[in-house]
Amino acid sequence: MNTPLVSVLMTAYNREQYIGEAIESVLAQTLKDFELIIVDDRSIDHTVEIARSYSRDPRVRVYVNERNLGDYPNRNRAAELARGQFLKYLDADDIMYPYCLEIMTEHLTAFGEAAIGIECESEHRWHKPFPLMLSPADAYCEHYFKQGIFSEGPTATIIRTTAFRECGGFAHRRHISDTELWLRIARKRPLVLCCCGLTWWRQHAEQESVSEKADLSVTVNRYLLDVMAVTHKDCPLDLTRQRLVLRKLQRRYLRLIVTAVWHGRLGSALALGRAYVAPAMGQ
Amino acid sequence: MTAYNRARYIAEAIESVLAQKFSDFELIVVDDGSTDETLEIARRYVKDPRIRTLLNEKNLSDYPNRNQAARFALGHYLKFLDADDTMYPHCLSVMVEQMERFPEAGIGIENEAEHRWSRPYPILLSSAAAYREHFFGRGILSEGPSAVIIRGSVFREFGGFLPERHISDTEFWLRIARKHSLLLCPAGLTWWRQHDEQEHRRGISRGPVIARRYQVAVSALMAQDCPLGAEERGLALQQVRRKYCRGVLSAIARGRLSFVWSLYKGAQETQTQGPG
Repeated sequence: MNTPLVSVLMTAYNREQYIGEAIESVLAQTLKDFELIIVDDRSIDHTVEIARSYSRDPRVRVYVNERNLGDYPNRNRAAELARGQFLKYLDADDIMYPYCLEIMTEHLTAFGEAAIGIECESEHRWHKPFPLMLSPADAYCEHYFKQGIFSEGPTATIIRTTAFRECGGFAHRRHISDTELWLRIARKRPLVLCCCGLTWWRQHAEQESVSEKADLSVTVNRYLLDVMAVTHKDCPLDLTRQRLVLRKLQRRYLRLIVTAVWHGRLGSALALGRAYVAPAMGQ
Repeated sequence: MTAYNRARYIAEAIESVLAQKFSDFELIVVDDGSTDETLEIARRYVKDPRIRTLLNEKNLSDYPNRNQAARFALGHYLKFLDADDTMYPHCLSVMVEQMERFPEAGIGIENEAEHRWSRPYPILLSSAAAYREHFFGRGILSEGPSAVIIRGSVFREFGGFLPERHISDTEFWLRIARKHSLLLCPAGLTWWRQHDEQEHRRGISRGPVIARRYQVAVSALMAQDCPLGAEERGLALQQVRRKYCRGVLSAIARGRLSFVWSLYKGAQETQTQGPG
């Protein structure tokens, strides 16, 4: 069996309203050498029927999980089924512009050492046009001192399959497992910044990222993740920079605690404070 | 591609055109009497029959030279690319394809703020919607020529850019958008280089530029065929004037008197101009 260049991985849970558009954006790609793997996480609407209506195209394969796995475990499941050299996640409520796969694979092919490509928005800051390869140290600097390049979601990335498998895929945390994986991949391997405007990220009320804002545990976990990333023994930043980032993170976090106390949200303050005192317990 | 003393960058710009996935183009390079090697470098590429290089007899300056380049153009669409910028390889194919899909659009402009839109690009805006978005939203018409594709017939219908040194790009887009629909294209098609020799860098904070921007905004809003209704027009004018006054006040506060003077003169000129 011929292996495709890219595996497009689309995980879906109750996305009947959007998945048709997402699939069509894949089928309209200028790059034809892909497989589209759709893994339904036991939707209770018509998501699967809609997905199956596209499986006349031999490049489209539709799977349904035996039980609901949840967001990131399902992404790992989709990656297990992939045969391509590159993994391209596309959420069932987003779309890719027609040239997305072509450009992203070109960029990663041009930089053979790079493990991951990430769409980057603020190109005017750079002295050269994209694609730009960043060493692990530069990537971490960019993320922690300039703009958070690792805050992008899975739809904005393309990953070399071997690198994904070496890292063991996503950890099973809700919300921040994407950033966590990018940080882990970029610890050892260079990354490529790709030009923006390749994917379109839909904002709607049913999204995880919209509801998370209210979620205190996300703030705590994000802080713990950052602390772990910069204190990790393989953190690519030099010691001075590690300390600088750590201090910056702690200061920002302390401000959150003070604000919570100020507004009389003592429970929140306590929850935040507990993580501040014992960041090592977060692992 | 208009060029004046761009020996450092023009090769990269030309190569970005030759690397386009869309191959049905002509590249017209008009040198405005550079005193460096700009023209020699450009001429190295004329082995490719799609490239023509021209030299102006006298220096025309920025916008008149853009009109000059457009006069030589045979294409259905005009795509400006400054000699210090580059296009990504998919730029022409994407812009042309999107303009073909929306024949009612007179002009296509790259747009950065995509998350505000509830649908993917390209997004067609009526004249009124484009004006609304420009004046009340995120200044979609402030993009420079490198971010734009124009239907050739539309360019000629309006006679091209005004010769004024600053803000003549936005002025022209406003004029086109008054009569034609506008297409917002995705960002990431061109790369705009920032460097010290730029007009933009040298001029952006200076009084005359701000004054001219104000004049352009006011005359677009006062024009008889301004696509906004009376109420919105009034609101936009109020907003533009307030911002300008704030600029004058902060210049006074910082004691930058020549700056204040040029802003004051700018406002005077705008008043005497009247509607039209």
